[in-house]
Amino acid sequence: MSKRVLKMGWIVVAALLCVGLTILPACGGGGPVLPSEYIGSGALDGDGIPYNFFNDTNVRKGCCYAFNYPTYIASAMSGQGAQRGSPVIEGLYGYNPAASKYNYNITKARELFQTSPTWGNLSAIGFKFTLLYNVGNLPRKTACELLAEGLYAVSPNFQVSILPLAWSTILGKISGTRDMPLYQVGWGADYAHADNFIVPFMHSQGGYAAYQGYGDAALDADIKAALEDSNSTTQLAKYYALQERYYQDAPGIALAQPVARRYFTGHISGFTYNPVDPGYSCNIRVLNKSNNGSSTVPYVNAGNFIEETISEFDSLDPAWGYDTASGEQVQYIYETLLAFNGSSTSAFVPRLATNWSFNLSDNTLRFTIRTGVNFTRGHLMTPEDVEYSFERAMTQDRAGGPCWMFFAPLLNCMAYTNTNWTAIDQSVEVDGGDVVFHLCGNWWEIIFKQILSGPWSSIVDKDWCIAHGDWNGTEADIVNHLHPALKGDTALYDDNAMGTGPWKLDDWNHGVQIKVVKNTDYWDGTFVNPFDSYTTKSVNEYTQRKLDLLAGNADLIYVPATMFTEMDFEAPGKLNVWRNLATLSFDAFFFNMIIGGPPA
Amino acid sequence: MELRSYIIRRLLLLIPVLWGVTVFIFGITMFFSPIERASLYITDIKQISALPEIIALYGLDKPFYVQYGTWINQVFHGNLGWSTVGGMPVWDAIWHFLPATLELAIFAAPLIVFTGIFLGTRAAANKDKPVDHVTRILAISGWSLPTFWLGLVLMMVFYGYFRGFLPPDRLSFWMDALVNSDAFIRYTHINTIDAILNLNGRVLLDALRHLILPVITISTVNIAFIMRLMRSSMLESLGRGYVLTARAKGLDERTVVNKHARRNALIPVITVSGYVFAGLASGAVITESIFSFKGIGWWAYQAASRLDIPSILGFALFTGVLFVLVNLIVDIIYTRVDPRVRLGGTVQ
Amino acid sequence: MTDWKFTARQLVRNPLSLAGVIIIAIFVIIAIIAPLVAPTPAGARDPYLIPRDGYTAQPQPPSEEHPFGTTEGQYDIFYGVMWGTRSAFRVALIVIGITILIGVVLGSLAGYFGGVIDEVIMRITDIFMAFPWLILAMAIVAVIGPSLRSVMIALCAVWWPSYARLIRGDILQVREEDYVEAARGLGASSGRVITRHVLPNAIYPALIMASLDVGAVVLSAAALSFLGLGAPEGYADWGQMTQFAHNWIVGPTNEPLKYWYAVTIPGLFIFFFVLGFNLLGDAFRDIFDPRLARR
Repeated sequence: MSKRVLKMGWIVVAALLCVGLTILPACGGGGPVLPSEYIGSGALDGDGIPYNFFNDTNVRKGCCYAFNYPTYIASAMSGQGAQRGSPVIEGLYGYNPAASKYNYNITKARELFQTSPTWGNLSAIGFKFTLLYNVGNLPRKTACELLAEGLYAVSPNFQVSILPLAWSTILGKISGTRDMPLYQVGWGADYAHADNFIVPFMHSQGGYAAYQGYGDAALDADIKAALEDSNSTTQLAKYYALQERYYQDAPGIALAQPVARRYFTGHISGFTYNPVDPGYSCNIRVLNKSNNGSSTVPYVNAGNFIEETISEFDSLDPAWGYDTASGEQVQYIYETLLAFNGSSTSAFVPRLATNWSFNLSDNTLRFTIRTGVNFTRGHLMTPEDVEYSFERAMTQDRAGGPCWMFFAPLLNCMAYTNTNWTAIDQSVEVDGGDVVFHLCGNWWEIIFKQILSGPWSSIVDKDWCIAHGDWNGTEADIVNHLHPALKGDTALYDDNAMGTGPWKLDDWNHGVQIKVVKNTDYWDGTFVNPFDSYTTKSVNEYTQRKLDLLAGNADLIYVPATMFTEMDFEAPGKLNVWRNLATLSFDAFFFNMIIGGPPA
Repeated sequence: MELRSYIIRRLLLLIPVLWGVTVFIFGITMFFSPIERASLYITDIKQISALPEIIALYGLDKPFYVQYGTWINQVFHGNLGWSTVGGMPVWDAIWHFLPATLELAIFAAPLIVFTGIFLGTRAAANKDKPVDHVTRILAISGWSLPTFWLGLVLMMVFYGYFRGFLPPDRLSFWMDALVNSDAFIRYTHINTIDAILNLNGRVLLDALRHLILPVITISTVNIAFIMRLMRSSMLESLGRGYVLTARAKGLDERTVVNKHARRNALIPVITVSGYVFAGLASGAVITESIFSFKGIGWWAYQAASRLDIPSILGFALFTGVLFVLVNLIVDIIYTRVDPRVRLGGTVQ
Repeated sequence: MTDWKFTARQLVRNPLSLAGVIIIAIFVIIAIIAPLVAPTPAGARDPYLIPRDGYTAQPQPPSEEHPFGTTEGQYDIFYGVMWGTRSAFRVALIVIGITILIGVVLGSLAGYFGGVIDEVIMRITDIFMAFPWLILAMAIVAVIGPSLRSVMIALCAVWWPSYARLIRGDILQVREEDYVEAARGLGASSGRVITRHVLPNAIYPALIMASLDVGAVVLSAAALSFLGLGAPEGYADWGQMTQFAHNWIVGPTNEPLKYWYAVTIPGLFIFFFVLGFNLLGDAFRDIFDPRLARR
């Protein structure tokens, strides 16, 4: 008996030893007191850079001229992209086609480096630092290599090394330790308006600019003024000015706007691209699958569509999901008040609302709600459901979720913590057969309609939600559903997903696939549903996706840009390919103005 | 020593081992700063500003012992936590992903063991003759191939070249729809077993068709291991006294080999087979990844590479229990098969 | 010393083991002459970073300037596999070396002294072995950050328990032998007994296992690279190069083997390297086993 106890005791000791041995090295802090390990010696002595190296405009502009944009687009993006001068890209309201851009000019770069106001003749002094990229991302690695090469061509004293890190480490460094001299991130549009890009890249509290130490109150005021300008001529002029400002300040090296492709089997037609549509297949209501004799791909699974992607689905709760994969599924199951008209990002067609009007005097947007619409497993949709959908989203406000897009236009803040229930209650009201939104400014009209077309604005069934344990609509119950920690805590996470859409959830096999099947009681009798079922599978292995496509077992697959040329070999006689689809996303280098973060 | 008390004794040892494993893994993941651990929970870089809130929400900045204590407390209340990579509670995730792996293990383990035993016996009985050399080279070649290379080449040949003959995934589209419909009762979520229980031949054939490539991929790599072991064990056994006696008695070579030598040579192989099965049941990461046969190995791989700590800890508990149980069963079988060994005695 | 001569003769006599020795010798030569046949371009920071000839994604077939062709991203395959030989030896020898060292130290302590020390060390190995090695290695690499160094650390952490167990077992056997008793009886200290009498005789099985494990280490490193947790892209490492090629295994339908060079060449290097060490290890086992059985 005692021997047994003794044995267990040794295991306890052993485990503690294990832990001790692993923890101890982590405890040993020590080390040099440099703000970052990527700035070399930390001083401008030829072996490093000082922590505020990139605060000098000449340095930043010099780097912009030292980057080989044509090679980047040709190689890292396989030619599928167009260089842009600022985050305001083509397709956004406010885009300036004639915006200034940097070009690859080593002489100009050298000039700028030699005449740096803060640091003097950098070509003579030289510097060293480390560029970081997230491991596995070959385009970002190529961008780092091109920059390093360019700087080396400016002067052999400029020695930049490159290091890969895990993505979570990079995220931690961007927002936490802020010790990377230079890093790349991208942004994808929530709605097609310049403000959606300018704020993260240029506003001092913006999602990205805040971490690099760029921006000031004056610039913030300019951004706000541009957004709130109701005169479209002057507004455009303001946005053009902001794009010029980005070019002059060069807080980052603007890279390119990618151009996408879609590879379908030859049996699929009707694809209509909309850059703001989260779905990979965009609007599947207009897709068509029929046996195309001229395609040698076998025609199987008639009436059923199978899409293979690599992304996982976060949540089917419209108020939670902010990733495109979730948004895609939400769009099939749920519906919004209005939807984008075809490939337009600013013209709308009625969906669950029959018409709308904007009242300039009190900044209210009024929607007349369609009658006779049934939820697939619930009741008739009423304006109360509409009101509930938005109030629910705003009182859930999960961390990192899309609900800021409701708070900003309705209540001029960013989160639930900045406001209260009374204000939320009053921002969305039911008036007879209408729902009225109280916008905080008339400039929000267009943008809010774009927001209302996104998957986060889906209409849910109030009674169904309450019956499944969701927020019951009263102020007292808010605290039980606010800031959910786990997505599984929300009632609409998976199996309870139920909406008015043309499809309903059949099965979500976590990690494997989601399948939605035709809603035979869809309210729109004029709509001809092209598919009995739509399956989205997550397949990590490209080889399998490709073979599935060629065997007809998949109708659409995700093809990484590096494999475009390959797939083009296959396409003739087999596939339908849509090319030159301008995406609303943008990648850029960010200069860290204060490496190591601002002093405490 | 009495069997029951032996089993209880061994099972009791499970607790400290599990505790040790989980503490160790927790310790490793504590190398990550709270912000890095929080980035598991955001799906898109746009959400980067939510990181501080996530840290507060999950208590990621609390000291090591507080976080571990919270986890232990949860476990004792039956809650293994939430698996972010699985999209469901950890306990559910284990049972959601386990059937796929078990299906592979059920078919691969016998194939590996029996082929290994057969080849090993042949090689040992014909030591240093061409048969020996050839089987050894074949087996070692299989083992020397990178698994993913073999898997992808097989997929290319039997799926791509032979036009969809042996597809990846677990079931084809229509069979999958059938299996998830009300017409089919899911007993175990292992497609082949469920098909037999439902008396559905089409589903059975479809499931088998999808199993062939992954099973061959895993088996090829592991057969060498058993083969080698069987061969050396047989060689030792063939050199023993009783074999000489049997030969002297005039028994033919086949009886000597198959009946006498092999029985004793099987002993170490049995123990190793237990470990092989345990290894398969804890997931063949690469094979599952390549053939979209998403089982527990794939889940653990996602969890490990994204540092989804609750999932990794849950997986650690699962494999800890699995290995201890397999060790126990193997030791008991060992004592039954080899009369020289006693329960609880030191076994070399 | 005569033992080694005997061993060497046995090795050469068996055709399979001879093949193994020859294969390993070829790889050693490749590793040595790598800088000569695949010179590092001037100004490169690290010779293990494969030079890129352009940036397009598609692998190019073998040509005059790229004898083995290029892989995705225009990395020269010839350079990669030549320097990859060095990486392979580095990883294998460092990992095996460290794990044998740890295993010898802990195993001897456990085996020779027994009691408390034995229990603690054995329980530690229990803890390490109760977890699938690949997942543990992945977690370690994920924490430290993907690089060849973290792969080596992860593999060391995963491999040492089996050596510790093995050596402990052998020492348990050996320490009951007469000559050890005699040495102790003559008053030799524990340390002396361990190093001069016990260890040299107990280490044979460990060496056999080590020779077999060299192949296993290289394969495991390749597996980690395939899962994205190995050496970074562009590093001269066979596993990393096969990872690069894994999207190109299936070429266009009319020429499915179009990119065979990107896929097969690094794979063949891995294959023959592992095969050579396995044949050698098998041969070692055949040679040493009868001697062990005599004990």
